[in-house]
Amino acid sequence: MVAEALPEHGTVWTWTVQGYAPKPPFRMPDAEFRPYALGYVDLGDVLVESRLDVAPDRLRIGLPVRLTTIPAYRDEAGNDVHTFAFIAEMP
Amino acid sequence: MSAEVYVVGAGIHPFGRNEDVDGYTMAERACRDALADAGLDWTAVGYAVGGSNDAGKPDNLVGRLGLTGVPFVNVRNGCATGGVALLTAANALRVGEADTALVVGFDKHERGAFSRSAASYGLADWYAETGLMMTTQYFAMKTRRYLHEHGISERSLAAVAARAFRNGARNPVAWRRTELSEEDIMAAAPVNAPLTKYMFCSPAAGAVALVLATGERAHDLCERPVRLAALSMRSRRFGSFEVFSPWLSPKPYHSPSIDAAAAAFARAGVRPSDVGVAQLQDTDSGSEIIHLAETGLCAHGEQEALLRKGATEVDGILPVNTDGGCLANGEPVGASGLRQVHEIVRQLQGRAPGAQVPGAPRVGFTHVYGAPGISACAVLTV
Repeated sequence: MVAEALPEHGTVWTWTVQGYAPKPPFRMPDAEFRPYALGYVDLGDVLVESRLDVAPDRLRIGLPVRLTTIPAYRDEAGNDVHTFAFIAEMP
Repeated sequence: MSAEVYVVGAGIHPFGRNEDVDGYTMAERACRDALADAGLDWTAVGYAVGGSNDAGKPDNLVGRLGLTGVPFVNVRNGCATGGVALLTAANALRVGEADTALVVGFDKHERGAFSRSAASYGLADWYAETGLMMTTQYFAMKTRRYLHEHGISERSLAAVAARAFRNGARNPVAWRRTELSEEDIMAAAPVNAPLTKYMFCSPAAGAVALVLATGERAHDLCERPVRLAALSMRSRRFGSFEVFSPWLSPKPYHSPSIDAAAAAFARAGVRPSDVGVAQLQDTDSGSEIIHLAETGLCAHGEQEALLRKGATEVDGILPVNTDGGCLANGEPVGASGLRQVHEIVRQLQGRAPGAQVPGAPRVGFTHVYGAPGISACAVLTV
């Protein structure tokens, strides 16, 4: 197996908004659940599933996005654990 | 030349939450009803296959039905459990293991969306912890892309659900028996956009049993036996868009449903256009729309026009999910596939529990699909 660097820019291939709190092992970043967006991002050779840090009213198939990180949850030691995500290219 | 196998008896325990009854009790009732329907005593059954995902080991049922020493195979194949149980029993009869068989599927699940551990799908914990491991997300994302590529409106999703509840309202063994308008369905809570609460089926409880018999025995037992013309099961190939996929190939348009349906039609020697009544996996409204085309029952993109002209209604040219499907019956995983077959058998015999398809249909079709990329199909004929 060889590691292959993927592009950091792509387009939204499909998306949804998680409208209810998943059961564990999902870990919430806050005490109260807030709906979040996720989707598959077209990076050319592969579609990668990812959280999307984009307002739902801006989301559309084909939206240009780039890689970032977002807080996923706070661990037992009080550290913020981050995960990868994509945000809109245009603010 | 292997023997022809027929369904000669059918029994069902009503689907629903069924809080006060356990899986085995539902299964026993379905088995006894199916045996009575066939006029066959349990002691005369030569082979048994049972399927359940969460409600116990099916072969324990011999403790309730009778300790006859019958061979009893357990199947646990996710959403394809019913289809695979039927296939297993039919194949045993075809090779001469026995001339009668009982097939039973039952299940009972916790409320709410199915929750799975990441490890059970070969994935790392982060995938579930960061909120990417929900089956409902997958159905919503596959649906959104499909509607986009084929120019189908989101309103079609409501049309599918409205028809399911309309059929469910007429089916005495369905769970959800209240009609809902397309407006109510679209205005309901968005579970995973574009799919609302009423566009998803829920985990539920229920049981179904079928009695099978070969050749002459079938015609002795049953006035109108239904022939299992073909049964197929397939797993995924590269390039299919499946649940719990951290990545996909750039053109994820294949599906085990395409392979399983094509195999069933080829073996049965009938065309999709010959089908007079069909059951398609409708875990959600979008799935039914996609499966209509993946199984070959229509062309990609044709679905909205079919829905609008009523083609998939009970009295349409291609009646689909005439008992209300998963949307109105819920999905007890182990029982769901056999519910489809139960409904088709009863439709082809002209004695549907709910709305009967007019015109005496001769060819029926069933299709189940589930994680992690499996499908089972059947062609039934009279």
